[in-house]
Amino acid sequence: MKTTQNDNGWFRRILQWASESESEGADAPEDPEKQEFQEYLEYIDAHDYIEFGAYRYMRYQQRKELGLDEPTSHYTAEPPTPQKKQKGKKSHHKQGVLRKQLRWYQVASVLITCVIFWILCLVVMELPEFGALDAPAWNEVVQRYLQQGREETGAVNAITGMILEYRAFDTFGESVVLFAAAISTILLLRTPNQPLRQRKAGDEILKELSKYLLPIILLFGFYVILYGHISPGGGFSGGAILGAALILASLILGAGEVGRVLTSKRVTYITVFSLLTYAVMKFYSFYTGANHVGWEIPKGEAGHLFSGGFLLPLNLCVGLIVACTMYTFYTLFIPTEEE
Amino acid sequence: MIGLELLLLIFLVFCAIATVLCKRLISSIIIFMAYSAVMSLVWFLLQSPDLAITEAAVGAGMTSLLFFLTLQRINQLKGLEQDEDNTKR
Repeated sequence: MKTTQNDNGWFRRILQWASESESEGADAPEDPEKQEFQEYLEYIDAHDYIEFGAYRYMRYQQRKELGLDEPTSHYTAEPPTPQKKQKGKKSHHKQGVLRKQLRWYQVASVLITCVIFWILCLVVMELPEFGALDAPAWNEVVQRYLQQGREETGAVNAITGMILEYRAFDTFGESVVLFAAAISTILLLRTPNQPLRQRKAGDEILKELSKYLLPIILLFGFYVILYGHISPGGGFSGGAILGAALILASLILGAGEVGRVLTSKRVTYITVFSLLTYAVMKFYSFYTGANHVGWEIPKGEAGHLFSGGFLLPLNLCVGLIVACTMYTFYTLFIPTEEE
Repeated sequence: MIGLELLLLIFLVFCAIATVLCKRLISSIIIFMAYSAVMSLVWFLLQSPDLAITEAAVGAGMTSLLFFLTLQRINQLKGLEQDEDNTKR
């Protein structure tokens, strides 16, 4: 119950004070901290600006002089007289202007939103119709991808061909970005010698449902990754599904159980290994300037899993990187018990 | 088919407005999940199943999960726990 007093942040207090509304809830007037802060705001609004700490110290001194029993209890006497201005220093604070400014921010935010909405509507009016033949997106690039994509990349699914062959370098860069994000999060948030975070296991309904759902989700994630080159799907979407399945598993089994199998060290190893495998497998492409001279790849056939050449392991690498990154984010952001 | 698309698009606009105007953060996140789920249906109707799968996995799944974690982290889920405690009593 101690923490409920600190529920509202400073920002919300300021907003509540600016809109002059009485704070909701019955416990609001009994909150001495909030009341003190409101008095402080009114004080600097009426007088001159001083630091909050200086204000509190001044009130504490006054309370002591008045001889109140509890100097920390709620203060009822007259607000203190302002300190005299130093002549040399020019004060930027005008009196009574803070309340107006805060209200002006609200009005300004609504105005800016309206302007952006208007601009976006104008842009949408200018867009070509869906499927129009003279749209700028319909050009030789699309024609080449659709007509010669299968011969050149070996992928039945044109999107995978685009992602893993024509734009392979982009995909590599995205994977590196994900890896860098995961690594920097680990560096920032993980403290060594930290005990395993024990969470109370989820409730019964979640457990019973997940028993049946979890294998299906895992299977579907692997299906989307492995069949990415001959049916809709691919590394990124399948990796996201796999990551969600891992998170669900750590929700039911408790983070400690899954964390014993997938330690952050092991997850990092998997990610690095996948990245290096991807780089090595695409090296021929980067080396020959994406012309594949002398490295003709087998063409994919619909319904045959091992038919797209390198596309299957490439998809698997991307999927593993995405899944591991998602899982890392989750494990690092779950709050500890003592908070 | 046109009717279904219109219905979905109207639902999208409704969800987008409701996400912004909702008072409680947790309900706006749930509405945002619904938005993403309907959006993946719209992607499918626009004949891009790859995007539909990604939208359903990332938009409805991962993003809202991370949002929930953030809410837990900044102690915005406390009201719910209090409600649960009250109903237990």
